Amino acid sequence: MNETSIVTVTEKAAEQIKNIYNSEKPEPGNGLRLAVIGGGCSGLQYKIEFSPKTEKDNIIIKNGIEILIDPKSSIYLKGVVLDFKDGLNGKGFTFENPNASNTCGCGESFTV
Amino acid sequence: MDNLFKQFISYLDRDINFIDTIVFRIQGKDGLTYLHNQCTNDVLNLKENEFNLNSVLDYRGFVVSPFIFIREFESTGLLIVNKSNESEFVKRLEKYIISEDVEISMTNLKPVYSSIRGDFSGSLFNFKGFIHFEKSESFDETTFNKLGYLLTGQGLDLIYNSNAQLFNNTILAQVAYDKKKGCFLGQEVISKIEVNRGASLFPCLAIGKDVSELDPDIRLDGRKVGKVNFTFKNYISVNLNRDFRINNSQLKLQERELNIYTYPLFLNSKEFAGKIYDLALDLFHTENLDLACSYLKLCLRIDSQMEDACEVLGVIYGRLEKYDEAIEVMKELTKLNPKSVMAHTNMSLFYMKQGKIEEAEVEKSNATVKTFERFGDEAARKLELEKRAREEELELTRKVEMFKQVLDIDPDDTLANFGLGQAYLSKGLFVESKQRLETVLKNDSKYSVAYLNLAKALLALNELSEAKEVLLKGVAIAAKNGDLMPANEMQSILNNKFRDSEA
Repeated sequence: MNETSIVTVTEKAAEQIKNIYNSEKPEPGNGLRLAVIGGGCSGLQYKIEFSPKTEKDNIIIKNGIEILIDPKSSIYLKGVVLDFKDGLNGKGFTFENPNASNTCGCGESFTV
Repeated sequence: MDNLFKQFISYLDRDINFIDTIVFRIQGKDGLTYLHNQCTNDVLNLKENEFNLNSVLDYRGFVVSPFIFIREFESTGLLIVNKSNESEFVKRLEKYIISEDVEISMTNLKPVYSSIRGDFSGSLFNFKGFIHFEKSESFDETTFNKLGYLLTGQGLDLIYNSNAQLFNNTILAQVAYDKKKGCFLGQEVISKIEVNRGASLFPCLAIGKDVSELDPDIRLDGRKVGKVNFTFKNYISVNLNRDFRINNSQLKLQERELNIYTYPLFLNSKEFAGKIYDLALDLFHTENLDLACSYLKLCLRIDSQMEDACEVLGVIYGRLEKYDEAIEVMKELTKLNPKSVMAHTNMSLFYMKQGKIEEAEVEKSNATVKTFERFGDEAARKLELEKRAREEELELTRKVEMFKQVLDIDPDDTLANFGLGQAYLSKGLFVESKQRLETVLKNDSKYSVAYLNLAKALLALNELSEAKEVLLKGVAIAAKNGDLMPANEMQSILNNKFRDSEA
């Protein structure tokens, strides 16, 4: 499977991930995990954290950083664009989900 | 191998006839007890309506015939045998009846296999299946039979390449053998072989190109190392010598590269369902949503407790806008896992889509409650893990002290050096671990597991070429010793760490 077809990571997001990776220095073998959990004001919620790789992870390599998505989360995340919005009104990392029919104001929670 | 799985599972929605088989009934006051004492697998502990694979041997440990035993009632059973083995099987069974009340009679029943439903349940092809004796729209499937042999070493003709073979050299040693059941003819021989390095030959799966032209006898450097049972497209069922039976290894044979896989390819229903689940996700990502749903439903038939399959099926139904079906599936998920947050979250979303706001809000509240419960469970689990880690650390320290005391007396003691090497490996003291394990191998160059642990230490120290050398040597020695678990693990490390980088 072409892992990049699950999630698109913009250049800006990739750059920010690299900056954070270099400053936080997670354990070797850890990547940036994107996952979906329940909850949030609109139902499903994104989760983004450094975590160890597992055998079944889908892996996207961007700017030398491994972005990890477990198989089940890949079902929820298919088609999502991970971007980074900085500046005065910036929200930080954003998930733009073309399938989301409803997104709450914080942009962290969505429905499909 | 994915193609092999896909072809196999494409047959699993239909009833399939057993091939060339005959069914006997055994009864009488002593019938099942007598049978239990004649065959290799358990009879008396099977419940009514259960079946298992079984076999009878001669005194030399050679297979007379495999069969399926069905516990029909408390004191009767059905025996499914290949017709070609019929007379030898009955002769063998009746040979030792002296005064027991045992009757063996032929029936005209025609057995049918199903992965979905049936009167009798048991393990066939390493996952739960069913047998019944109706014949409504059942199929003769010789291709399915071949696929079964290739994937599992088992088929519906009940031959198992076992005719006149030593039991240990057949798949029956894996799937039709209960070591605890008590005495039976041939038992001593097969136990002796098991203890002394195991079977010299055993079935494997090989995959390569142009395999139909391979010689039936497999020779390497003039030495016979195996035998081809049959070929099917790019797949070969082969009996291989133990030196070459390393899972996921490669064998160069008559100018062909063969990939070798050892049985079982999957251990049980859970693993088999897991494999189908992976294929279902691939189908989802290539937009084959309807087929993905079919595969997920098959997963759940095979492993009814598989929460992930249930959840993903519901999500896909949601994407297909089949919200009623999606909600029903999520309700099933709450039964499988009452603490599932995603079940309630997804139900809330699906009810919203249907405009059922009240129901959506109820499920959203349920999701919130389950989330808090999960936080509590995670905190408790974290405390438990911390406690366990402390206990393991203490135990490791105690062991290190114990090994050191032994080494004060004898610095070359193999077991103490190995134990200390393993302890240092767990503690992340890779230099110390390497020293200890090198000492082990200096004194005992056939200690397979020491190669594995040394390779792990070397990899941690980034001494990659040394690690590779150790792994290659270790695989060969472990295979020769019959230590298949370390052999397979070392081969797996070689494949993951070094084959990818060479590609």
